Amino acid sequence: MTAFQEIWDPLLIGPFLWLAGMAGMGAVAYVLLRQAKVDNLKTFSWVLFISIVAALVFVVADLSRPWNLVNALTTSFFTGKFGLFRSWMAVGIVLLSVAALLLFLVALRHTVNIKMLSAVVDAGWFGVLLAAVGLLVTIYSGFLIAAAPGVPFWNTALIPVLWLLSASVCALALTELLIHRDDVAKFTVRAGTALEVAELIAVLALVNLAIYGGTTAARSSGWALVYGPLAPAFWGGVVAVGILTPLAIGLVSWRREIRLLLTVAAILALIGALILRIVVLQAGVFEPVV
Amino acid sequence: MELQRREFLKLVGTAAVVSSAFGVVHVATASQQAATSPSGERVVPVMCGACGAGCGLLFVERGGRRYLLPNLEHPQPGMCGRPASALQMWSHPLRLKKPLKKVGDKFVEVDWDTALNEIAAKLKEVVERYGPESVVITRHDVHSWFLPLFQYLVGTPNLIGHEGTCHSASTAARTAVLGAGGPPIVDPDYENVSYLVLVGRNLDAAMGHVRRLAAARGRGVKIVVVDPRSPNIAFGSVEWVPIIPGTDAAFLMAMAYVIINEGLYDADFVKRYTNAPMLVKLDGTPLGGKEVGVEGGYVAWDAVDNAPAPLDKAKDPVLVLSEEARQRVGGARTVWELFVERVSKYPPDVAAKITGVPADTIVRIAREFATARGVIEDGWYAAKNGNDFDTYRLILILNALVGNIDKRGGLCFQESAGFPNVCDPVGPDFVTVTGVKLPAPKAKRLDKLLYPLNVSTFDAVYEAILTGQPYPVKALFIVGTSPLQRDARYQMAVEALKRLDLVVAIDIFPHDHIDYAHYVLPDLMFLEREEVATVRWTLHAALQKSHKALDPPPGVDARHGPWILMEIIRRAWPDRAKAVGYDERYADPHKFEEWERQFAEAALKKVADRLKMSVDDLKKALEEKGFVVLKKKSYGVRPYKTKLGTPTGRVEIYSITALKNKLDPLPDHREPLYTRPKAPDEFYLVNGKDNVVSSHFAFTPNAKYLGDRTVWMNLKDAERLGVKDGDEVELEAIDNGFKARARVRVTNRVREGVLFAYAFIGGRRSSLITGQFAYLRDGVNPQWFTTGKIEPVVGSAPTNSTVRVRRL
Amino acid sequence: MTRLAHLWDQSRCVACGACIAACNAANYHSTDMTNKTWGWLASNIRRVEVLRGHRPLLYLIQCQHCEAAPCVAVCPTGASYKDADGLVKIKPELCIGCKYCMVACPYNARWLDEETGLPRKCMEDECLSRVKAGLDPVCVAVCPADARAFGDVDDPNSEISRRLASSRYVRLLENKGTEPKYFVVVGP
Repeated sequence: MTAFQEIWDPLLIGPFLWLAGMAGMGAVAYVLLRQAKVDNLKTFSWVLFISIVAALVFVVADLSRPWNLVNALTTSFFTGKFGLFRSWMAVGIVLLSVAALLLFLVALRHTVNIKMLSAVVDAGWFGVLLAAVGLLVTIYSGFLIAAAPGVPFWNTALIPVLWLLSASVCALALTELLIHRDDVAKFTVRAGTALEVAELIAVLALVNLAIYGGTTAARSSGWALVYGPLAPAFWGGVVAVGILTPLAIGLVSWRREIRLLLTVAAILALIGALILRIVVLQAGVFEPVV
Repeated sequence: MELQRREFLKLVGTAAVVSSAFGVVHVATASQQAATSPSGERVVPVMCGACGAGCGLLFVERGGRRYLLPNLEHPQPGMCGRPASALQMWSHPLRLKKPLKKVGDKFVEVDWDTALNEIAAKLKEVVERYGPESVVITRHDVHSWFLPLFQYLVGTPNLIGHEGTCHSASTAARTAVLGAGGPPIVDPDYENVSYLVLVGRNLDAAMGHVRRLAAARGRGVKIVVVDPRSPNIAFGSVEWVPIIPGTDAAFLMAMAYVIINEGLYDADFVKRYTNAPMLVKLDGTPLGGKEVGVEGGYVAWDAVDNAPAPLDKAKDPVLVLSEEARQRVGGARTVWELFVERVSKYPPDVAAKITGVPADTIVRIAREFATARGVIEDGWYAAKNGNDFDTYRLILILNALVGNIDKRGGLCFQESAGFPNVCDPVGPDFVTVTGVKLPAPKAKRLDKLLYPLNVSTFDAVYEAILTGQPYPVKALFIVGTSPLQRDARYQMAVEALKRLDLVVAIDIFPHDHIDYAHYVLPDLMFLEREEVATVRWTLHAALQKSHKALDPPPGVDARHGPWILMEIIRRAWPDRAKAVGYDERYADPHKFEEWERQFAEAALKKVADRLKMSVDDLKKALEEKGFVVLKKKSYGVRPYKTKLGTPTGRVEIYSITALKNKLDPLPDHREPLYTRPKAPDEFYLVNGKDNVVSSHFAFTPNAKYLGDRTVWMNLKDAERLGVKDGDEVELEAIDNGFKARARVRVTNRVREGVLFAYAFIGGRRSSLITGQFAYLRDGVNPQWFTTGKIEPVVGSAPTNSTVRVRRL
Repeated sequence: MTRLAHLWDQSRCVACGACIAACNAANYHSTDMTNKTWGWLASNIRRVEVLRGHRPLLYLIQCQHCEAAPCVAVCPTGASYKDADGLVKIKPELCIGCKYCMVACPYNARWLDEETGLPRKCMEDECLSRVKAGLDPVCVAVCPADARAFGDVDDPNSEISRRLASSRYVRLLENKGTEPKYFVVVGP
């Protein structure tokens, strides 16, 4: 079979996508938690900020010309070549920068007492902005790889949808781990379970359609995940650990939540989400030219 | 407070961004300017030395970049992937850099003086003890013009090249049938061909051929490639005929069968310009004129006079005798009758069984070839199956059958440039082109004693080393050739090399034989030296001059091969050196040019005088353009206006030369000299080349990807044996038991029952190959598996073999 | 309008390797650096061999200089751009090495130069300089088999236009919508 793409390192871009998604939907979760008048959001907000910073570190680590980053961005911006309306990568650069700034302000707000800061961060418009940016960051992270025509396995609308679902599960997992309020816990269990079901369908649809309806390269990728060298990571890591186990725990906890189980579910869901992104990147195969 | 701080921070940030942006913009402009103004151009004509073809190239230095381009005005322009990688050869980490001396089992670097003095002393000692004939020099194309001078200064008859595993058989065929010589002497008129058949020839060289053929392909020429494997040329629009190895002669006989039976031959040409009408007695010898009362050595039956006549004088010679005529010539038969009888053993369906080519394919190709009056290429590399002399004779005969000799679009004779040899025999001596007399060696050349019709057969040297017969061989100079990559019976060659008292290798890369040398001397590569030579692969008469383009890179103390050889002579026999005007002045390699030039100048003067041209005009053209065309090809000369160099002066279907050497005067399909495969796990192992093969090119980093060190196996065979693409297998030689491992490439580029591996590329063994080049050990050297039997008289050593395959 | 394009004649190519090696010599200083993206030498041209059909087939793949080049669309900084002459080029000073252009190219025509971090492809500095001076790119200049041409497909009198008008040709992966300008001639 054709070789896997080795252009984007799955172990750098995978964690980038994971952290970006986590920070993105985590920002949405933050806004909802504020609405629910949850206090003690300091840890939560710092986790989000560190996630986005770590995401940026991972993505810059995969650059082959990082020394030119500042020069290139500023030049392209000032000469009007920046591809904001052309390239998802450009969109992402802007979104990630804005998100990092916003999350920094949020984390700061929960750490130091500056009235002006709190006023801004607590404002309604800020919450809308933050949620919107968070959502867009998550969506962009899916469109980024879906819009690359070289790798047919990624060229599917399912990727942004799957990323959205998976990142939402991650946000819920973070909430489960860091926020300890009963009503919140109940919500996260039920919403999480629903999202896990949706995610399972999306993941299976992704590989099924690649194998049965995809082009040669997409079939190659799908086959590698379902039967081939990536099957253990896919079935074991993504499906069993990342979706089915948390889903089972969620169903069991539908009525009664057991702390320990839910913690385990959250951690497994997070791990599964990371593995998902890594194997999707690893499975990418270029369409054979002939 | 906060507002002010914020404003301040914004200001600083903006200033920083803006100033860095300006910095970036400034830098960007500067670098753009540097890229778009190339700093001048240097263009130097060179003759390629990346294989033996010597195509015309231009060395270009443009804006600090160096690369090679074809010299499009040259009569034989390049190029292929080999010279395109020449700069990688130039700066190669494994390039031989300093003289090496074997001490114990290691090499130590020594300075030039030490090496040359010791070699000269040892050479002198060997010659004094065993005679000059105990010194053998072997070569390929590099320095081949100069070497006879060294040879005769030493006094040995044994300058014996590579041809025994190259073109000895095809050259013997050209000699026997056309009275011609080496591969470039006769060649298709590519740009005008109407139909081209390549039998085991892939046009990997010269690229000038490919260019001329490309011009013909623009018109819509059909090309047929008859080969057990599909060479690179068969990726394009050609018909590939996958044939069982060693059966080309049966294929060609069947073609002749069809052409004769369907009357598609050119009867006029056959009667007038071949010895088809010649009468042959029942004992196989030609009927002599005396025996039937006519003059001359060869007789035909003239239909006009209804009587025998000298072959050349018969007005209408018959191809088939009437019974009445036959009685009058004592039952003799014409060559035509004998040939037809021979050919009738191979109707297409019989040939189909032998060759594995469907009968209707053979019939169709025969008809197409004859109707289009096509050309079958006469062959270069011929050392394949040990039955090659007959194959190449048949090719020439088929071209003659359709009357396509020396015609436009036919198999043509090259116009001779007449570039003199560095030494030529004159009476009992040899005289250099500068007019110095050198005594002729007394002993006879080793291989000519055994193989009178050969060009070279180096096996005779190995035998002499090992047996001491017919006389001992004790010293060997290996100049720009790789015997262990090129000669059959690798293991025996190694044994022989170990027995010698003195082995001197002059080369640029560590080929396998380096390990067995006492002294290794780094030579210059073709970009680093000047040379005047014939343009080999054009039908015009032309000369070319290769200019020096570069010095060797820093750290490479390589020196010009001829200088090395003359220094050895001077240090061993100063008086002999002086006789050709060479003294200690030229110990400085930079002064050597002055001495060396006189030979090229003398040669050019002879050419100019012969053609009544100005030698200055010649030199000017060579200097400025890198070539000069002396005479354009004129068609219809041989055998029409000038007789051929055969005994009858005609195309010899019945070869009197072969007869005199006790070979069958008519060609036939014979068994190969190696054992044929019998079991399902036994395969023919054939080898060959493509434009990505040469002994030097193999070392380049480009060759790691453009070259191929796998063994090719057909898909059906792979499935049958359970072998997958990339699997490792063990090959065991049926004839000599040698075993080796290789990776398999499962491919449709080779027919069933046959494996293919490139020659000169795989299975390198030199101990000097280290580090990142360790992959050069992968693959196999086809010479490991060969039988070692030699085709008699023509001295061609088959390089194909049979191996048993075992999955690992 | 000028639209420079390449032609490669599969029916005439003799797989001599001159174009591949010459690209390495002229554009990359004959470097021995490995092209890890393709597992190949440092050249802008790669080979695809079809060895399992009824007959062996060869394809030479290089940048197609697409009219709707995905690599240009996805580049965040505009480093990958289409020039007025129709060729897709790179501005190294704008390149951050995000490699989006590399995964966006359906032809896998770009390879990562580990020394500079640039996503290399046809046409590189020396060939661009030659084209500017009215010369052929190196791959066209060295081809011995008359299997290559280069020129303006908007000029009906250019060699490439005339040759296309008298040949049967295909383009690769046409349904990807890239509008490639690399014409593969398959016969007269």
